[in-house]
Amino acid sequence: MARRLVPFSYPLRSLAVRWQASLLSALGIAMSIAVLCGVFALRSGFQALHAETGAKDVVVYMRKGATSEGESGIPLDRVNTYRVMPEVARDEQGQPLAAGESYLALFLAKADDLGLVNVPIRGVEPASLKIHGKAFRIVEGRALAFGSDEIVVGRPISRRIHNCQLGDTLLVNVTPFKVVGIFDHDGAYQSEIWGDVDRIAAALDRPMRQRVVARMAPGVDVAAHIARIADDKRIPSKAMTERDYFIAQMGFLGDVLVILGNLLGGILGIAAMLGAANTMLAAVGSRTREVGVLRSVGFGQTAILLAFLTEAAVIGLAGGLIGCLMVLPLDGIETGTMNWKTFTETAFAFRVDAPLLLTAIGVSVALGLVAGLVPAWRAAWLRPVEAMRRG
Amino acid sequence: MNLERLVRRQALSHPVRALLTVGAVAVAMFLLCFLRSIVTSLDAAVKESSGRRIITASAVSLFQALPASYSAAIAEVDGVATVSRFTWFGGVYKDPENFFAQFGTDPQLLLDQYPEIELPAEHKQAWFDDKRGAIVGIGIAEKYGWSVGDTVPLLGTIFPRAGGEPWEFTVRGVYRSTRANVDEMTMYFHWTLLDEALESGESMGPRGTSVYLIRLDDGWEGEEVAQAIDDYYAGGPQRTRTQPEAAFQADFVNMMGNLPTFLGMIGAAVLVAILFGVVNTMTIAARERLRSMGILKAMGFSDRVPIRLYLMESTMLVLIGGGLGIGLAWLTQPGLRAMFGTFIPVYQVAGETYLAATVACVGIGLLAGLIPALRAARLRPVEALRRGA
Repeated sequence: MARRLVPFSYPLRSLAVRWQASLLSALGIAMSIAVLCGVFALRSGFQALHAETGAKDVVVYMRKGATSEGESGIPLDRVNTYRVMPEVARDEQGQPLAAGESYLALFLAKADDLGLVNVPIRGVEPASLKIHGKAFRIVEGRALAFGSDEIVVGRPISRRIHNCQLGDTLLVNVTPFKVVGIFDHDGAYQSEIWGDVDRIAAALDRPMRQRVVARMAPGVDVAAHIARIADDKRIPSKAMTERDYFIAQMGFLGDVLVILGNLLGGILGIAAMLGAANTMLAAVGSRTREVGVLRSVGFGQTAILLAFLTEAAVIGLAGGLIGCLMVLPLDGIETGTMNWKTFTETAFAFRVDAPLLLTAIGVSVALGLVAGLVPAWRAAWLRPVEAMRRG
Repeated sequence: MNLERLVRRQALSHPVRALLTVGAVAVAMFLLCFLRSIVTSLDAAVKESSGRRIITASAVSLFQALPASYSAAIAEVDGVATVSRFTWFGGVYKDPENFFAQFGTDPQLLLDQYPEIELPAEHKQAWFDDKRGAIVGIGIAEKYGWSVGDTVPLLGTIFPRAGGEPWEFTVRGVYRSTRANVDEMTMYFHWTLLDEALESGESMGPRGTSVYLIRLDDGWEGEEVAQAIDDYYAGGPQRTRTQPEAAFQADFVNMMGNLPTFLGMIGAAVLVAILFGVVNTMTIAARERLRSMGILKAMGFSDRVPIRLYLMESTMLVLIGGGLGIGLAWLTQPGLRAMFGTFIPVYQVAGETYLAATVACVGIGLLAGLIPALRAARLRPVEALRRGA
């Protein structure tokens, strides 16, 4: 008899009786879950752009001491020294798959006229396109004709930035460049504009290259090569795989979003939990007599405790589900923000995925349970006779 | 009949519930003040800027240096009183995590153009006299424990030294700032030191100047002088964009993208969450007090009494909680300023934020009290007495 549990329908029906208060506390939890999920969906979209996209056999070389491409500078005559390294892969014609690329974040106007943002323009060589391979694809218009003042623009950028649609003309310093193609890239390159490195260097009056990028020949020990080149006599370089390079770019903003998400979610979660605790306290208070009856017909303390905890958990669960429903429409929405590491506008999409939603629901049920702990405890320790008299 | 006393009694009849509500409101109000302060602190630098200074930078890129030769030509433009050079150095002190701004500049011009920078007279002279000398804001001096005479090694990222060793600067002065547009987290050193090192090959990196800072002659407007400079360089070699200091600072805030909108959205969610919480408490309270409201009415009190009772109770709860939250926001200013460091060097809760938060509290309090209040007003005494348990 002591082990008998209160039927599951009891807490559910009790919730229905006090549906206004239950709904309000669930909504409170939903709000905090929505904010938490929203920030983490932002982070997870940003992370997807950087973490899973870089190639492991493509190496990026910058000048030693530089922490990003913007700071790096490699004299033009040194680029050839990189090209002839034995570790570099070669194409069918025997040409090395290495390219000196220029990089500069341009001030460009947003398409919605809300001010200027920094958008990277990258000067590339024909070899660059071969190195990046299938990850880089033209989705509209045509490919770049090297030797002319033409550019191709990343898909999200073409929508977000003025003068970047197919057929537009973009002024780079004092030289007009024609947009001949729109490209797609799974990674951070989708927020860039690409053109012929020689034409762009001339237009910007910047002869230096910012990085060399090379595909490694099959069988090369990439890590050993990176270690060796760091102290090379002629071309000491800060080298890393493209994958690591993208991950390094993620640093600061990724951290900020995690801190922000936890902070906001945590604070709102506490507030929502206090609200839910209120509801549960009132629920226990108004059902003192019922608890007394239940106890006197033989339900044990554990059964009472579990009944009220279930009730609290259901409030949490409902809040979690509502919160998830609120953020679900965010999935796939494209947004842009400044990447503080590179100081450039980075376009990416919110990403609401199953692990995020499951975690959110777990957190909300936990919030409900914690909120129900004290009230449930109180209910379990009511003395049956007194409870019936008082209620 | 003393209404205030009844309100107090009622609110405290369930001390735990009152405490939970006050706690929730306090936490949420703190968050709201905090979010709002991020936005206003970023804006403060813009608002405090001087209209007598304009800045010439590359129109092409934030990262593009302007040729050093521009300074002589700009000085010739009508309306220009003085021109100083600023080069973003981007050095790393021990660890890349230790981020703060460093500029190579013209020391005497800097202090002339920026009366906001307060530096003791003996520090000034010592800095002018020492080519390797630098001045640092009190904020970074305290953060890293530097004092006058210390040597600060900075590893060049844009300007690495040929041998790979760090640059060494001697702290000659520690400055304070009198206005929000100048932060106390910056280091200034001699522009000529950098330029000479680039000339001699001791250091690598781009020659030139990141921006030119221009102080206007009296009687000249920033716009016409800016236009004259930009027209002069419209055909290259580097196009310029010259704008008032405020607009230049505003560009940086804008580059953060939709941060203000983003934080605003979260703030709205917080407000709604607080409202839910308080409405919840008041609904619960009203449910339990059906009978006592019925008694009041049966005794002949008008409908206005229960309305006032509920409105006063919920407003009181929110104001106490809100007051705690706002107080917390006020108390945590120094800590948060230290946490934000160079990201928001002048973090502070603005007066308008305190005001807006208080108004929000009163609004939420009234709104949350309204539902039970109206219900109680419509109540028929007999029914209330029968239903209320």
